[in-house]
Amino acid sequence: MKWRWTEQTRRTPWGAPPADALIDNLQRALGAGNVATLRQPDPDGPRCLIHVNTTTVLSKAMALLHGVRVVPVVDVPQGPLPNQQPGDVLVHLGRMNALLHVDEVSQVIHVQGGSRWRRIAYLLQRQGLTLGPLPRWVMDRAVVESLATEDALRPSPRYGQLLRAPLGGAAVLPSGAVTRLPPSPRRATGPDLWGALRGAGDRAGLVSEIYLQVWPIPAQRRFIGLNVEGWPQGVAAMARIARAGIRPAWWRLAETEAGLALWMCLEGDPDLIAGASGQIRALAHDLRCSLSDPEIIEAYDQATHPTPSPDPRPGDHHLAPAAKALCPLDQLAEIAAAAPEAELWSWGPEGGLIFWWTAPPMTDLRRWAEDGARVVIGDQIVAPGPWGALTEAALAALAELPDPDLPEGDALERPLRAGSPF
Amino acid sequence: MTTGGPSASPGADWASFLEGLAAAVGPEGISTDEPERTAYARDLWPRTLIGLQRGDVAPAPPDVIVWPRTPAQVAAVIRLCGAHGVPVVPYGAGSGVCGAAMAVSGGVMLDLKRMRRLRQVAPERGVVEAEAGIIGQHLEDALQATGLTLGHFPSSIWCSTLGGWLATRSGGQCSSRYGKIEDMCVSLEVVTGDGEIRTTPPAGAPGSGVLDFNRLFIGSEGAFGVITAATLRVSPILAHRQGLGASLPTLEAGIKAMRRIMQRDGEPPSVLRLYDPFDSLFAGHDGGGESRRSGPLGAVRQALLGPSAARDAALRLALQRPGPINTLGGLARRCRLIAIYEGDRFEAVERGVEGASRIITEGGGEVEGPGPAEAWLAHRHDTGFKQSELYAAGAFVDTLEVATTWAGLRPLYAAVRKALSPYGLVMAHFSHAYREGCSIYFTFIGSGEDAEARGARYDEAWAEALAATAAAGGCIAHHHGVGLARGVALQATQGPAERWFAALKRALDPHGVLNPGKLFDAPGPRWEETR
Repeated sequence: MKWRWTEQTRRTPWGAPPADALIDNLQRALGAGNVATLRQPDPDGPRCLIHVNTTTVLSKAMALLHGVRVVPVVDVPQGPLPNQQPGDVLVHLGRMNALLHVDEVSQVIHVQGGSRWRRIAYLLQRQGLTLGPLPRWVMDRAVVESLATEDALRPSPRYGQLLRAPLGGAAVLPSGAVTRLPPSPRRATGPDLWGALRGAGDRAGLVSEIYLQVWPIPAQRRFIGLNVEGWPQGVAAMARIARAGIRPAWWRLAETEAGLALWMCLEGDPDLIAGASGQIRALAHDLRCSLSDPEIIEAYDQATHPTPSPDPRPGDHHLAPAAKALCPLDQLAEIAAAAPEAELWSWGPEGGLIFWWTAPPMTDLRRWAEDGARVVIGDQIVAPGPWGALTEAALAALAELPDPDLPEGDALERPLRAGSPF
Repeated sequence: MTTGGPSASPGADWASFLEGLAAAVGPEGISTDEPERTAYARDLWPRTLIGLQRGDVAPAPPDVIVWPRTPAQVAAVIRLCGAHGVPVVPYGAGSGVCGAAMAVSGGVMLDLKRMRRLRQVAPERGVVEAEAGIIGQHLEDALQATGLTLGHFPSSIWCSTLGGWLATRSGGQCSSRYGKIEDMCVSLEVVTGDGEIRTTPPAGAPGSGVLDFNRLFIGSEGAFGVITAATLRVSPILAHRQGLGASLPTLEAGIKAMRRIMQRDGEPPSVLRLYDPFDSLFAGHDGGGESRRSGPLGAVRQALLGPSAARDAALRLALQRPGPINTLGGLARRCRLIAIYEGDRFEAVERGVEGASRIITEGGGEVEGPGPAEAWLAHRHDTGFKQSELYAAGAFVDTLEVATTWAGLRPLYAAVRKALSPYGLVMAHFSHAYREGCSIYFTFIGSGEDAEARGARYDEAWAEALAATAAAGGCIAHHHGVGLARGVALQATQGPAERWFAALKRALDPHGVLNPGKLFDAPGPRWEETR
């Protein structure tokens, strides 16, 4: 049955007992138009859906929702959610999507957590700024979701990993308390507790605002590629390019119609690009590789990193990789070669990130995980091991900690996981 | 002096606890001797030097010092401490300036300096794996012998350890190019509070269900686990280097020039520093060389320790009422800037220097050639070990590093300078520059009629400066860490995040023995009075 929502525009008259005290309180706190229930009551469905548009409103809502299971969503769901339980309250963050401030001097933006990357990129583009190349499938994800699932959003040598180290922001804890970090390029204020948000599902809290670094739209883009003999040679080429200090905006080692190739996009100052291109050509000569056709690489770039537009493109998220793995460098070529449709998206001291568009057999994925790779299907880590157990222990402790504001413990219990409403 | 029995009060178990320690690390690996307990009762937190003026030699002595040699020994010690409820404080070289390595509850001081092996250098993967107790300069020397560098050069490099860098989120003088220590860390080997030896997943690993533990252990100051080794990214030594010095007409012009230099395309400078007008007066003609080495501290020290008693008295009085001098200092305008570029190709370095020179000239500045930068390089590790003499002479001196984005930098500078001005001479330089912002490093020198008054003024100066930082939207610490100096401010500025800290602490340190009384658990700057 398709869910249809109706906003609760009528409040319980003063003096009359409310049919649902929680909904009544939410209406009073958030405004009647911000609380919706199913038009046709469903005993297995959610209790209500609330819209929030600011950190303050979200904080108010969370404070009222103690003891209630809360499921954050960025789309208003039209049917049952995975792992849903009767009586859940859905917190809709889709209206918390403002670009609050663009600091052009510092090249830092302040955005709300419900914002989708597509919208942020579009608004920035109009001001001559960019987040760097974002893959098509992440464009309709929201900031809060990407943080919760520790997405590999932008494994870019030039721009760095998006969300790896936010400059600051605000987060609403399950109790409704708000913690804020002012934007700063680096800090030494104890452990990076925002690390407790990344990869935690959303059980540690919801990021309602975030500060991110942005860049001027580059003066020039140039595409260049090497046709390599096999994965070992391709991986070696990436290593040499990295050691030469060349930082492509994106690079991929993948099967193409012309065979295995390492494709790159160089961005920035034309003189620097010319220098880097020369170095890459010299490397190709050294490795006896031919160069790829730049027009084909450009067409690939346009297909995989679309020009930002304001409108969502609903099908894009289906293009997400089926599996991914951060692999130790000494296993990289072997793992990449072991299954079809692998693409290598990064190379660095921490390892190489492989995406698969069709998931390799589970036995292989498990074996690679046991050998030290971080293997992920959808958003879920395969064999999270002792660190997964410690994560669970920390999140359980968070839920059990006494909180003066909460008589019944924390409200936020459900993680954003694979197949979530996002 | 507090050097009595074990303050952790293990009671009748104390003897068996010590036996257990000796069994874990060998009898040569522990000491309860009073001189050693006294030596380990402080790090380089300047606040303790004021206590020293009152004769408080050992403000926070541990009950026993332990020198493990292996991660397994660390694990055994932590298991034992957990079983007996004895606090354990990791200790590197003791050069921290915020009191993070002080044993406020007694217990075990776990000195890791015997764990100093370079386990692996892998140039082909661009990493080094080293044990936490290695002295920074030794690590760098070993790397440079193989043609590599970590690129991490804190001024304490001769007297700080890798573990200490990681535990406090250290920053080095070349952070503009190489980043801070957290940017270099690939993974950590830690012993958690349950006594297990674990290796963290690599930085940047994707997926839901595992927290970013690298980021949680780095900066945790020993509260979540004892870092026993780390794998860090390294870079080839760069063959070419060129510096420049410049004079900018105003502080605003200097900040703008720094920002434009950092936001240019291409490799950033390794070093970029701007001295405020007052500090530039001391920097003198060589911009950070010999005169800077003696510098503001040297000048004050010479005055305080000089032969003229009348001059000493006048200077002490001036330090107690520093407002007029700060006002006079504020009349100065010109600022000294130095930049140093490095690269594997001369053309790249030259391009950097030319680009920076052009920006400086466009901002009304005068480029003066490489002399000031070379002078700074020659003396960059000449840290202020002379400060204890200043304390003995009746003054106090300390430094405070805060940070923010470029847009907020000038207001932050003004706010903190104003907050500190009533308490001492204030000068600052801007260093650790990044694309999006920069750190400000304040130095303040004050005094008081007696040790009690000096302590009060020191505490007030810190409290006012950190409150001003927070009010101006700045970050209260860039690379010195929290320790005891910033505990209260941390709680005030990140309050509800304390729940995250508490939950992680419960999971990672189930017995609650790892460096208690720090970070969100810190008693604050006046802990001496309350303990």
